[in-house]
Amino acid sequence: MDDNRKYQFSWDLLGDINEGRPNLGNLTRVEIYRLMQFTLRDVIERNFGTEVADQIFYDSGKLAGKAFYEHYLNPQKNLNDFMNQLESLFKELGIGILRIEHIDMDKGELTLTVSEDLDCSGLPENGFEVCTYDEGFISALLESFTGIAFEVREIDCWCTGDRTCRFLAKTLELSQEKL
Amino acid sequence: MANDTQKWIQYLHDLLNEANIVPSIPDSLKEIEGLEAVDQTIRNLRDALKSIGNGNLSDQINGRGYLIGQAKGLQSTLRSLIWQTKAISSGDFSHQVLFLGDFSDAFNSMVKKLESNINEIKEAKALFELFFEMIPDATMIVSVDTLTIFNCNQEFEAITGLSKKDLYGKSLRNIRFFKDEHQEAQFMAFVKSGEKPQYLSLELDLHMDSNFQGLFSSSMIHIGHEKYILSVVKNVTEFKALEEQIKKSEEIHRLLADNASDVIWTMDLTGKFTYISPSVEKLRGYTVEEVMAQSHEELLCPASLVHLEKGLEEAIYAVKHNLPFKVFRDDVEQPCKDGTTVWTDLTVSGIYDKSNHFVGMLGVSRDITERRKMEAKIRRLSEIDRLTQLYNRFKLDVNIKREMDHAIKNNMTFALIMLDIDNFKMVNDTYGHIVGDEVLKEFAQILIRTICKGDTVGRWGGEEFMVILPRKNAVEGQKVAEKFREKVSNHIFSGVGHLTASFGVSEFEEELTEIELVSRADKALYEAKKSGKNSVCRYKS
Repeated sequence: MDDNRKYQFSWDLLGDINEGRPNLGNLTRVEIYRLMQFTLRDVIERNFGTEVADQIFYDSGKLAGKAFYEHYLNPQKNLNDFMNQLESLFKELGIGILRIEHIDMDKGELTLTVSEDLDCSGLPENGFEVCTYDEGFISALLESFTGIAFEVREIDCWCTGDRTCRFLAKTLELSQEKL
Repeated sequence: MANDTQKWIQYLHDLLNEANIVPSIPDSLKEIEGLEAVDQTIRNLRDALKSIGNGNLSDQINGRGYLIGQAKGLQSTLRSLIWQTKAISSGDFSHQVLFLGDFSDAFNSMVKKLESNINEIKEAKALFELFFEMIPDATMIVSVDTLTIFNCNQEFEAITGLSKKDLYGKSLRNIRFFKDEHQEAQFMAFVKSGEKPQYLSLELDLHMDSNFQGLFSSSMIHIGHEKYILSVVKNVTEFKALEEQIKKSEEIHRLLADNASDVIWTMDLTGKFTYISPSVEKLRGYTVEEVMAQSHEELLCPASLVHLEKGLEEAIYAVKHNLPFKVFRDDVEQPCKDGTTVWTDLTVSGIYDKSNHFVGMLGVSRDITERRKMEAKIRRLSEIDRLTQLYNRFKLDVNIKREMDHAIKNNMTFALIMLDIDNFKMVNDTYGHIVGDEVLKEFAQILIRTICKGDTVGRWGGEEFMVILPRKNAVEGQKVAEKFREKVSNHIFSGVGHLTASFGVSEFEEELTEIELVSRADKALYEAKKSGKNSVCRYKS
């Protein structure tokens, strides 16, 4: 089946934006990004159910995170340097304001927050977290840097009434408890 | 209804404003719809703000909603700040606080300033460490009380044979740094004697060299509130050994100079003594101190003073013109304390340092009084006729020549008398040679008693004698000869009786040679003999 896939992702699929948008450039409005994401989420949920929709978005985020790491990040040896680079990129690309709350690599635990999040900041309160794409994205970034699989869960979200999205990341290799 | 409203408004008021509140919503208000949820939200908010206010950021903030969300945002921001501050304090200055308005600016500029200051401190520290390590001499910083090593450089490691790891935290006592307790006490007394840099020379007990000689340059320094000693220990072992060698060598040379019978001295170019060996007292009777204070006129008799002054003049000239110092040697006469004089053989040479710079003159004065006496005796023996004690023919030749030079120079003349005892062969034949010799001696005495000061009388050979009369012409010479003739003829020679003598007189003329002058006197004598002896004849051309 893989051999016959029509949409297998590669960074090249994003195209040559400078060539393609010489006048409009590489920017668009956030609501347009969200329009595509939330309509897509709607259709997937209707066709495959909520759980599958969430999983598809988590996996998509993970795929995106891996590609993002490979395309944007320079190899770093130090975790602090990696995080600094990530903070700068998040800000520069308008993904959100990334902050590190806590890192304990002995336990394999990190707490990160993303304010003004591209996916959810400003969304109506609906009582549940919606940043499953971010979870997968952050998980892939950490895994790409450390080489260890991370599980990431959003514990606070704009949609739950919080003003900052907070993500708890743990690696099962080191962490004693599962998320 | 109005009462109920008043009650829950009062309850909410207390929840929002009072420090102490009831643990849970009163039963009477539980029935009001939605009030329990509001109660829980306010209670969660109170707990959240209290935790954040107390600085306890690890507490979980419960609940949802706008206010709780803002509290969570504040907690998140503070947590992030803590993480960033920790990263910064560990030396990672790449962190920036963004989107917190004035706080971001203040915090970020503080981090930049901190980074700049830390970098300056690091540079200063690195520079200090570099300097500290590069000090060519062993350097240590030790605590005053226990002599515990706080810091040291590579050279200190080298001289102790221990690594910094082994040295840090150890006392100098533990590594047996000092040779003995006395040395340690000396060091302690030395460092406690003041805070200004001081110097001390000690012998150390170090692994690499049991006879290590260290010159300590130490100063008291303060690190925090503690007092430490900063010491630079210069290895002077070789220098000390050399110093010891020089000292011994100096002692030997001083011993030699002090005990030599010759007087050894050094003098600068101003003519002042810089050293005189004690043997001078034996030579001249003056002590070293007395001689040191003497003027040149007191050092040398007038005739010899000329030599010294000439020698000094030449030495100054040689030094000024970078010419080699010419060793000069001469016999000089020096006055003694008892009023006599002493003759010394003086040798003076130049003293140069390793860089070939002239530093003074070295003189050796050797007592040659005895030698001078001996020389005078030999000279006299070579000039005197042993029998008559008059000048011999050799000396007469010298004196004739001298008198000729003097006469030419001063446009004067002098007279020469040749005399011969008449019939002396008969005396020898009749009375024997011993009596003959006695006759010659008595004859000589008559001549000596008759001549004037400045005249010369000598034995020409056999029974022939010669008299030189300076400033006298032939006529005057003839008169003197007459006087001699008369005295001789009147004298009664022991065992023989009366004897006579014949005299020939010549006068020096400028064109005459010595031989011609003598020959003329001899011819006149021959004439006197021929005319019957006991007479005086003057040479006539």
